[in-house]
Amino acid sequence: MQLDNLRMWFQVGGTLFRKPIPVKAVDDVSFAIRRGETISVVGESGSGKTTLGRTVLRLLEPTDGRLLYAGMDITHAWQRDLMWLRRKAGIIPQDPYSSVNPTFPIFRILEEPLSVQKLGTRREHAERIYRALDNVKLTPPDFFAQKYPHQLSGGQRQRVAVARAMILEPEFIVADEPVSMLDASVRISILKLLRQLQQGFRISFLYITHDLATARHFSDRVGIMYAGKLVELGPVGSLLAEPLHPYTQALMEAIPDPDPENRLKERAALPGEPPTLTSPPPGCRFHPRCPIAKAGLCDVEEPEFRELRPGHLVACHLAA
Amino acid sequence: MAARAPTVGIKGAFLEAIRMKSGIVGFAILISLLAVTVVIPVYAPYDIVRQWSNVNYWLDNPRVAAPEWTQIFTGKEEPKTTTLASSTFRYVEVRTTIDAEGQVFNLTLINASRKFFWTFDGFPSELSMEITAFFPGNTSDVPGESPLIQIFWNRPDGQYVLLLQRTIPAREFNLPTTYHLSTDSDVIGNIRDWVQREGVISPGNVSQAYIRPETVLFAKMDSHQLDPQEAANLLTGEYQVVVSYTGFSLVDTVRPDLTIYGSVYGIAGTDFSRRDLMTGVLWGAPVALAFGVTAAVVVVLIQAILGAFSGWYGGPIDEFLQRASDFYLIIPILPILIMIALFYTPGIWAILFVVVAFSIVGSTTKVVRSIVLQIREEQFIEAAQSYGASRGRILFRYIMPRIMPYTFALVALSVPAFIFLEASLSFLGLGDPVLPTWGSIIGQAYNEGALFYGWWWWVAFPTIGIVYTTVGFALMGYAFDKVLNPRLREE
Amino acid sequence: MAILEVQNLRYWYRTRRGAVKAVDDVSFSVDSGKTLALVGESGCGKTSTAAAILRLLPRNVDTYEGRVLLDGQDIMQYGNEEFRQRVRWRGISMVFQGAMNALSPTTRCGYQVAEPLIVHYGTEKEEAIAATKEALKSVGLPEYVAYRYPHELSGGMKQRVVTAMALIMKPRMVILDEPTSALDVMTQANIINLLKRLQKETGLAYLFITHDLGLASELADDVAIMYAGRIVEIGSSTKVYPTPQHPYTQKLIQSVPLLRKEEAPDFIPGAPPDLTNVPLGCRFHPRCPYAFEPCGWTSSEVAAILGHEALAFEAADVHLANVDRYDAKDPTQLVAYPAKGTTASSLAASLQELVASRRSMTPFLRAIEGIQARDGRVVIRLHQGRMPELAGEDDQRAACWLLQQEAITPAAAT
Repeated sequence: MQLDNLRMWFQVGGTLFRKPIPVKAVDDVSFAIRRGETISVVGESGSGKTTLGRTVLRLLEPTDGRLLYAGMDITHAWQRDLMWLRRKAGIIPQDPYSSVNPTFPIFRILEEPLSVQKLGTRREHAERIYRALDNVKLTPPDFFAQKYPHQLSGGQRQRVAVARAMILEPEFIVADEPVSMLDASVRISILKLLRQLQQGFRISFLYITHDLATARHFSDRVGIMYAGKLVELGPVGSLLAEPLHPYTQALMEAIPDPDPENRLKERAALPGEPPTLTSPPPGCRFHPRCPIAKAGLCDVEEPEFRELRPGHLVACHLAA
Repeated sequence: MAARAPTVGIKGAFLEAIRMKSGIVGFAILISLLAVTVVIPVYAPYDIVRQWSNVNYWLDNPRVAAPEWTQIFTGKEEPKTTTLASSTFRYVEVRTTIDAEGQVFNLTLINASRKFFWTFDGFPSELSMEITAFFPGNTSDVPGESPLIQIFWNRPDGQYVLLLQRTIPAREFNLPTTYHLSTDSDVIGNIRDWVQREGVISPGNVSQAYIRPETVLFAKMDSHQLDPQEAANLLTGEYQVVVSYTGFSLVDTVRPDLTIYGSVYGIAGTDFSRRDLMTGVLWGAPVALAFGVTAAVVVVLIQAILGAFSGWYGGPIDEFLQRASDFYLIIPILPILIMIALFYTPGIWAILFVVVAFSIVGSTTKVVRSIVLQIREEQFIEAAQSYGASRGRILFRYIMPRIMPYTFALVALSVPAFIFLEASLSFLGLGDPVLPTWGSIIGQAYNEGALFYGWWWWVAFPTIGIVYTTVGFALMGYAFDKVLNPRLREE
Repeated sequence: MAILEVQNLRYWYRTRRGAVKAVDDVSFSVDSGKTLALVGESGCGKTSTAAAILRLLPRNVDTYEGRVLLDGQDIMQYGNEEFRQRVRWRGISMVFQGAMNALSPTTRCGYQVAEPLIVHYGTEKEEAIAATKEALKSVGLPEYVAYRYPHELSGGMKQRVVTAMALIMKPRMVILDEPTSALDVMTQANIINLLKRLQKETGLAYLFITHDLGLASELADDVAIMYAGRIVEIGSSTKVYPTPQHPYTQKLIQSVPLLRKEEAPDFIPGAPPDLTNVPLGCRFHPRCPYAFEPCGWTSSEVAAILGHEALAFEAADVHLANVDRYDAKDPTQLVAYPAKGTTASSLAASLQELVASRRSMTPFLRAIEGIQARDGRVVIRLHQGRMPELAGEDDQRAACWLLQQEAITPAAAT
């Protein structure tokens, strides 16, 4: 998947008498996702990361820029021409309580993608469904296939969501905060499962999250999003060992690891709030909260996204 | 950790609803109504319904008679309708030929009499006699050829009263003639003369009084004889009615039937047209149910589908349907129906059609739309789009099953409204002219001043019917609502 | 000196399926000016503990007993009115989970903060306004916030408003139930800093409820790990974090993905038990890798496991004599009835073979003490299992049978 200067702006609040205001959810984002790799996009709520996930799957039509899948330009293709994409790319949603249809039994939930894509006969469906349930460790599969979502726990429901994404044998999956509403321990089991599936089936993942710590352990590359823009992108080891953007540094400072010494210190945190996407600050969007912002530069000119270390890009005037 | 099972589907919601008190009661009421619908054809076959507007069919019933069980409260034994059939009369026949100065007259004298005991505690409500005379008639009305009928009344106190003396027009040969003894002016005149002759009541009062033959003939000869039934004193004992026939051929026969109408009848009484109200009220049930349920189901279904479309597709369709439903909400259905009914006389299916046509969009549309808007945000919808499900598929296969339980509740809650609508129309006399609906019964009762005259049963039973049905559906709908709207639960 | 001392608190509530043992014999204490973190997965009873302390009980209470000493006074003995006036919000207040979303959208924030004063204690308007302004200042909010509606504020500001609400009566102790759950990392850090500052300045004590061990370590002087309604480990955070004693604590710490270290997190297989039907003995034993005989089991559990294992056995093409049904009514033994065509003794033999071969892979099977064929049935005797009590040093105690055997440390028992 290749994103070139992708923009996704929403027009809201237009009436007969007032022009609508643009919400610049994704503003000029460019990066590439390679076959078989996991890229995490980390950001706070309101950073535009969820919109990015939907745009990448063409559930939304980008306002500007280009979106390429395996070289093919899908930026403005019509939905009905994108059925092939729907087979190759899937989504795992966030909320275990609404990510699967509550009125269908598990069997039917997993059968729907196959029916929609017209893949195989009914008997072949059953085979594929049982295999999918096996893959996500919901065994014995015939036991789970006839259950309804409300009879399963949150973790089990997310596994069903994973199985549903996997059943069409996709090449690319967008996982939008798949574990943030689950318990700590269940989170790990789901993420491990995703990693196993990725390695077993060579699937690319776009993992959207606000939790940098989980991103650390389950991705190859990490991208940091702030106010609709990608501010840093790089291999996970390099980025976390040496965060170059001040926002990334602040983000890392703010996350506590379990250490009883924490209670004796004040945690470094940025004051203020992220800007609204309707009227972002001029120049670098982070400058009002940035501890090292330089007047005259950071509040005037938008920084370029440049490669400062091998494979490690930053959008900051002052990073070195 | 598995959550508490939400109600899934109509079956689930239904089973939940039954568990609540309101649900049980509501369901019981509905089952009873259904039972009535099934059982009626046995008790009162459909023929009776078709005869509802046929006056002659009901002639054997008393007018505005109270239900029989009211006797329990009054303590009196109220008279039931008794018909003294002609076969029970005693006939004495004399046939001769008279030769008088060259002219030959044939003569038949028949004396038909019938004794009967009057042991009830009350007066009858009406008296009527049907006499069929069999004689060779001819086309011209020639006096001397037309037979003569005299009706006498013999009382236990020895009084022998001539009620009526009349010739039978020749053209009425072999045809039954009905003599309404309670309202016939000759009868009334004769009775007045009789009472005056006996002198118990002052002449001035007698000539002023309003004579009710069915009361006077059965009342003791005292100062209260001419009073209304509540004040007059009943004379019990053996009565005899005598019909004296004089005919002018040799082959005449006469068959008299006396009907003494009681003052109570049946379980629900009768109305002014002598119709058995129980039949009418019971038949009103399937009519009301059929109309109400059909209207509710069709209307809610159409509105729900449109609401779902509106919420799901959004955009211009949504705008259009929202404004349309606003418009429809303003339209007053009843006045329009009245207008239509004034120009045409619609049958019940036509009414149904108009009601549905004027309720295509409405409050259900808005409710379903908001539910769909909520479901639309749920993440499995997004996931469905990501595996390529078309919008139509998502709407009909994923979203509609979720709103089915709500539509069920909405149907249950709208049925009473439609029943009421139909009842209102019928009340105004604009409904189906043939069928006995609850509304039409109440309407006729109102027109005849039923409550003013104290005929409470005429109004009470159809009203109970409407209230019972309404309560049944309302409780059912309420129980469903509580199931589907968790905040209303009483846990 | 302890400001709050909870002793043997028990709070069960009734549902259609039975009594939910939400809080079962819980004891801990919180010192003035210090924080106790109550940590556990969802459903372990930590929120119920807070509700039990503040007597915020629903209608279907089954059992509610124990002693709760606030400043030395047993508040369980108070009548409801006395409790309301002296304890709630005055002695102890609470910041509920998701409270910021529970702010009334149609009332201005200032009034909501002042509401406890005005409604419950009949404070005069002037005094209430002054107290509100002071409370808002102490949580770092500017005055104008009092005049705003909740939807006009950001998540972080709303959470501060709710905190101000909890502090308005100047209580001695605040219970914080997941105070930062829906907030961003930055805002979370800011709120935590605020809480730290308040504690230092005013000597407030906190009972901090969370599932996030990292977050807990930000405030906790002492930490109590809860599982299935009971406390399985409790001690000073300087001891528990680096050297957790209870297997559950160890697994829990291992499951936290660390930002600053390489070690990959690991997850705990299985799920917490149904609180209406808790296992006999140690409640964690079905998921514990070190579980051994004294830890306890239920016969229906074993029946289910045997059934499961039999399937796995069959799948490996080994034929198992059929079981017609299990009788799991007696918790101490499981009775298996052989299907038609099998004898009790052959069933017993194949069950023994099953248990012997799968025992190492499935610790549940260690519950089985013996299998015997008798009167045409197979009787499977189970180890009893007793519930372990908290035992250990003053500053770190854990409830685990493994630890109470001398010289066995969890690491050595693997």
